Amino acid sequence: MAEIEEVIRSDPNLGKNVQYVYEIEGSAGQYAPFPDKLASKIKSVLQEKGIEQLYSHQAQAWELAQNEDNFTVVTPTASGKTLCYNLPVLQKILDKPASKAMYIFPTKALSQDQMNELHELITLMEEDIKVYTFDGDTPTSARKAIRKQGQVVVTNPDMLHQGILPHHSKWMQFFQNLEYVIIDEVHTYRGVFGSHMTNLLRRLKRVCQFYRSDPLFIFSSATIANPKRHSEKLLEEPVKIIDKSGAPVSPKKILFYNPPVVNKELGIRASYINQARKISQRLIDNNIQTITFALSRLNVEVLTKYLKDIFESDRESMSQNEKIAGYRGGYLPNRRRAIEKGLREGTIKGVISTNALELGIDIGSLDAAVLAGYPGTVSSTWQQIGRAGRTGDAALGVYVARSRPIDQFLITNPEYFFSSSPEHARINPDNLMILVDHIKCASFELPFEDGDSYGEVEPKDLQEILKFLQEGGILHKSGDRYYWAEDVYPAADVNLRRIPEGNFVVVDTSKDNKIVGEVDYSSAPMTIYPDAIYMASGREYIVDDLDWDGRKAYVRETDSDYYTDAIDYTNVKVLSEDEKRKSGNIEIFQGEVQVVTRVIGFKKIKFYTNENVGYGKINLPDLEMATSSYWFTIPEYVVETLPYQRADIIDGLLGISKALHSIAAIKIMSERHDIRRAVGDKTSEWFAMNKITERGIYTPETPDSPSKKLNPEDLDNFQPTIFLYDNYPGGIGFTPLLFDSHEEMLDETMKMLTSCSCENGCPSCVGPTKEVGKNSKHIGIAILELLTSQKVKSQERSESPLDSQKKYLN
Amino acid sequence: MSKLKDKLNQIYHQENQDHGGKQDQNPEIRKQLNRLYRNRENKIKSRQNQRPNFKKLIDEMGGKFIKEEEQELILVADRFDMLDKYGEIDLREIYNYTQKDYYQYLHIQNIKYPEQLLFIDTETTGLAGGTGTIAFLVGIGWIEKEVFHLQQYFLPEFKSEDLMLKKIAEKIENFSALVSYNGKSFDIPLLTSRYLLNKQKPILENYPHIDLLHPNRSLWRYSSDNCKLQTIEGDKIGLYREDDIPGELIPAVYFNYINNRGKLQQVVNIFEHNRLDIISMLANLICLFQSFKHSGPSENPLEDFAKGRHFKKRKEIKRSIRHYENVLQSDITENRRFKTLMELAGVYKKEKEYEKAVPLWEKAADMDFPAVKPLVELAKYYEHKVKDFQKAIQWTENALEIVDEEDVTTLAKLNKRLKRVQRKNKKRDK
Repeated sequence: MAEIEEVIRSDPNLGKNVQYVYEIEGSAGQYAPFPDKLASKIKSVLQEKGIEQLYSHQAQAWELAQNEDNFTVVTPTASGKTLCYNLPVLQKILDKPASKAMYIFPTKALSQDQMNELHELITLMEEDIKVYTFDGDTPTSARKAIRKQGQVVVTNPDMLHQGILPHHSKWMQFFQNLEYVIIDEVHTYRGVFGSHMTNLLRRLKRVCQFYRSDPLFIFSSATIANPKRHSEKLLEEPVKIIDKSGAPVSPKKILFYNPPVVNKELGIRASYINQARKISQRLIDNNIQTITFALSRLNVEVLTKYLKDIFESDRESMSQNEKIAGYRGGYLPNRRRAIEKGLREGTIKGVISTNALELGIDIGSLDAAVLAGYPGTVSSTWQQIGRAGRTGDAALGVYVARSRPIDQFLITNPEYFFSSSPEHARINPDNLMILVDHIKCASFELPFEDGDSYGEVEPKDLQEILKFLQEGGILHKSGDRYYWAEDVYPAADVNLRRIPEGNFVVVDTSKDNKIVGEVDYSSAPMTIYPDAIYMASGREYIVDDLDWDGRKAYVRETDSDYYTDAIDYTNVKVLSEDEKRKSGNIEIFQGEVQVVTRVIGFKKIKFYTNENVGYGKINLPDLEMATSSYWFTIPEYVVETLPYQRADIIDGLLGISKALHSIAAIKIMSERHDIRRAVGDKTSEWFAMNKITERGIYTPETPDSPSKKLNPEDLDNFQPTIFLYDNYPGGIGFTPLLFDSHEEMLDETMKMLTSCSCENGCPSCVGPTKEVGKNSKHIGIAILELLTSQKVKSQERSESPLDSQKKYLN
Repeated sequence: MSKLKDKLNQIYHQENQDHGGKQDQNPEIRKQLNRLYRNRENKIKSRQNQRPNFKKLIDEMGGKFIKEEEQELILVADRFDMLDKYGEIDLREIYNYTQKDYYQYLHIQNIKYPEQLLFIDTETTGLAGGTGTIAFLVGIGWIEKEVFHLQQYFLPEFKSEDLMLKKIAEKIENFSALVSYNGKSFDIPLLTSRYLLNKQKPILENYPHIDLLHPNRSLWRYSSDNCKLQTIEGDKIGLYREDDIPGELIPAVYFNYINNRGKLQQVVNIFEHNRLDIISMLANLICLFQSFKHSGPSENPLEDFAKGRHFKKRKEIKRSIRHYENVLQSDITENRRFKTLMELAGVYKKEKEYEKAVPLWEKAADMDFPAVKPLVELAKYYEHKVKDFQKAIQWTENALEIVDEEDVTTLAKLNKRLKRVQRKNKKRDK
């Protein structure tokens, strides 16, 4: 068992692709005695469960709770963080049975599991403490009893938002006696979701204040770079941090596995799914219990099928227990429980899961964790690897990289995982669209009065918004109060996970108006314009009509030999420079920008041959938004020191912007497209387009003249600028972080370009050469070098595992 | 213009970013704001800061202002002479019913005289409930010396809610029970919330309460299309409203009115709607008593069927049997006849009067109506009561012949029964 890693390393096909091995030494735990004040009932139950003392962080949590300090526990998976909040809560209820606690988990599955754990403690204590789940599945008949009797109510943000706060008068007793609010996994509340969450907490605190209660808040979080700042931004109150885990750490080896390159020119690597399958197969073959994390439900099913075919198809296994299982949201609870049990008892040797098993669900300890692709954040990566070796034996983690820039960057820069966390959870609770929506919800709950405050919103800003809503007839002012004045229920229209823009549904008119897809507002003009070929689930549809105001696209299934590619441009205009500073040779900025996205037409492109077989016009409203951005301009005198044409410089910048975008995404723990990029002129005279067919710079279209292509050499004033902006109207809080991290990000962008094994650019770094030009990578490196005033030293390059022989410069 | 407003305008796609002087009055920006919100939510109304002319409403309704400190209400008082017929109902009939009737049929104690009842109905700013929903009109009615008195409390300003709730609480204290239509799930919880939010004692919570919806359902769920008050008015009271305002429009009419945009007539219509609801509740109550006390055949046999079930549930077996028999003697569909036979047989079975149940099951089994249930009942009867296993086998086999093959549960049960009875039969043969 000692060297599980050898199973992979010694395999002739797999071993050679291991690029890096990281070893974590085990460490003993740090303990503290049970606190004196802890009820003997609780002590004896813990002892019954074999717990004789607390981990140091659990004792610390107890102390803070007794001092009535809000706090956040930042500790790894399986470090016993639930006791950090369960102990103070149980103690409080034993001392004062009228006390209430609310537990908020980001997902339903997680809340179920946590409730089971708390139930177990309470049953062992032989106390009648009432713990209930209150979510969308709770039957109406049970709700009344939960409201009146529940001492611990377990719920999720969406239910708090739509089902509890708007009916708070029915929860009067609960709110009057609310002592603790526990919010688990607060690192998941970032970006849009987190900005909503702060507002939800503002509303919760408002309601508590009305009932004269002042609960203590306990958060837990995975490891991120800014737990204190993030917690305080969420709560808008001081929050203490517990980040030293006293739990013992099991020794572990982590392999960084890069699928072999199969097409050098295009930088294409072997399928990471197949590679992950081979690794898992090899481990299970050696009787090593393995969890394989896949990035999508589909991948889970595919991998499960492959592995079941291998391990369960022979006659012998037909009569035996199931050896391989898939696990994901959407499985029935009983099925899930059976799999969890099979894992704990060791009868299941291989499980393939989405991130559903990443969080606190109890499946015991496994020997190895295989990650098929980077799960999107460093903290998820750790949580997933943490599934292996939870109880002390040496264990194995294998990270299998995809060919995407982020995956490739991380596999060549493994230190990213092991130094302090690079990831920041950022939110902007005062994003106006989000704020206005929650002020509506809050008004429904309790009318605002003149002079009221709402979180850290400036009172005069609050008044302005209230007036704005009053003028719109949404609120009605009577006396000094603003009353809700619509017959709709505002929370019903506010989705906590989105900015309120309204998605489009795609309706198939040839199949009884069945809904075949949903397209978000900002992608709609690029994907579902009339005559577009819309592709979903392997089928092709032609769009007959787009009802912009009704947010519907009408399509019918078709069998076409071409697809359509929208020709769109994004022009970014600076509205205000809020902050600037010098960095090396240049100035960098952050501020407000106006982003205009216009789709002007589309090309019909033949499948396989990529032949251009037609053109169509698109007539849709521009997408306009004001948002926050970080940007920097390459001054002309800097550009002129380089031996390249301006058109080439643009190519280089396009390449840099793509790589920089990937790097920025790591910093902000980005979800899909939380930020976007653009390359254009500082005064928005022109913008760069890099479609396969349309590379170059163009003037924006005006009412008087259509967009036209420019030759950059003709420009008097050449001020190419890279913008990275929040992809949400009003901004969502990422920009200040990017502005502050500029130098670091440029260094990392440089690393990404220099360490990539391709010749001239590939999807893993600057993008395919067809999009950014043949010289983008080389020019990009030259520009970065100037910007960072740093020569790439040859020995630094050779540290990167894959590129010893290549020379990028001169 | 403040920076925030600038931002609001930018975000809501304002093209005009004029940073000049008094934009608050700028019609261009106003227009754009309105357009923006219309596009986004299709809901926006223009700004109206002036109060509507409440005097006009008061004149129209013959009401008056009630003022206390900063708060003011509009009170409209009215009376309905009970000598006048309401629809086809003589409202004085309410005096015929006794404490016993209230207890037996409506399960409410201590009502000796109808004067003890307070009829109540609210009109609200939303139909979905929640703490942002307010009752802007509360109508109450009570009986005094052959006159039905009505009072309607109307909120011209939300801030006066506190006063309205106080006035209603004072009134309620004089009565022993509330009468409402669907008040248990809607009006009373909503008002209770309002009392709590105004930091007043929630007097209505747990107050003795007759919610007419439930007895209406017990009696007329089969014979009427639905049990809405207005359906009952048509079917039982003989009242047909003209120009009645549909309930779902009421919140919008009110909001329009207080924003000084609505038509006065529409608000008057709300008052009338509320007034009729309250008087209809009294008439409805009388209809309930009439039906409950009438044990002979109803005009509609489906009402008898419902009463059969109702009294069965209430364990008034004789009444239940009586109504089921009324059904069987009337002209009804085969389907309903079958159901009635089974129901009635069920009552007898529960009373262990098998000699009466068996012929009913046999009749049901005989109908052109392939149904397994009566056959199973007969099989059970012969197996367990008579212990005539031959007959039990016969009935089970009959059932197996007609059972739907996709109904696997029933199929399995029948097969199990057959095997068991055959075993018993063999055992006896030995």
